[in-house]
Amino acid sequence: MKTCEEFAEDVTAYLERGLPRAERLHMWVHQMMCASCRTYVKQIQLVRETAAKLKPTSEIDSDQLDTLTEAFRDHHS
Amino acid sequence: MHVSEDQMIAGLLSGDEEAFRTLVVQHNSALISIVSTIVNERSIAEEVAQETWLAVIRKLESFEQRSSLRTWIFGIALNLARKRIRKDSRTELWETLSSPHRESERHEIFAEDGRWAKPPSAWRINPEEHAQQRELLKLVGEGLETLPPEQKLVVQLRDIEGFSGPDVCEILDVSSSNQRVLLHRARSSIRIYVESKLRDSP
Repeated sequence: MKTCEEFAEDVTAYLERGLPRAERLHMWVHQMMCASCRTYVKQIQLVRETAAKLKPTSEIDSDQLDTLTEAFRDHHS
Repeated sequence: MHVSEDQMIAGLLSGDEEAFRTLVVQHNSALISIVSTIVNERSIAEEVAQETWLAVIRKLESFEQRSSLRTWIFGIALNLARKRIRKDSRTELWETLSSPHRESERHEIFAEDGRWAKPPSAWRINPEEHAQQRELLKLVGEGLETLPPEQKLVVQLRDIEGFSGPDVCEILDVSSSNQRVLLHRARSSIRIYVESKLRDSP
């Protein structure tokens, strides 16, 4: 039986299905039996999903874009 | 209009300026944001992004498509950023990347027997609700800023930019287990940050 600490350590691997079958089963069993670890998994997933919405949105300066386009043109001429 | 990767590469190789501009507009802000984590200064990150595009122009003919175009471009950017900090002799980041300390959380969060000493408390937040979603977004963003750069980088690439684990290993030149340790450390630190804030507020 895994401890909560071991469960938490392996959660990232577990969520990406990076664990061998037997380990995955241990994780699943632990999760079924431990409410704290169920909360933990949910929160880690929520952190991951929320982070996905943090995409940076700055626009490139048009002069800079033109300079790069010129370099691109020079390379192809 | 959706342009496939092959169409994009063919366009770039044939000198299609629109294709090139599209590519730059698509990725430039993500490049700057990721490079900023390493070089620590936005103006330098902008320079590195610029250098990256010039390198892309020069090297495109030799791009072998063993990875996606985007992975290749980010790999170039990271290499240039790496060179830039090596010049300033800031090498710690890359040392931590290749051997992330598995520092134990146990003293604070886990008891001797491996059970939770501070079990995760339910967050008073309903992610379905718009205002609370914004609050959570703000807290996760703040939590991200508290991370050491190597952890922040992995979250930026994996969770924000949506690169796969193998892509991130290639971009950062780290092993898959190190990538995973960094990602785990990062997400669990953000979780703890969010939890501390949700506990503090009434």
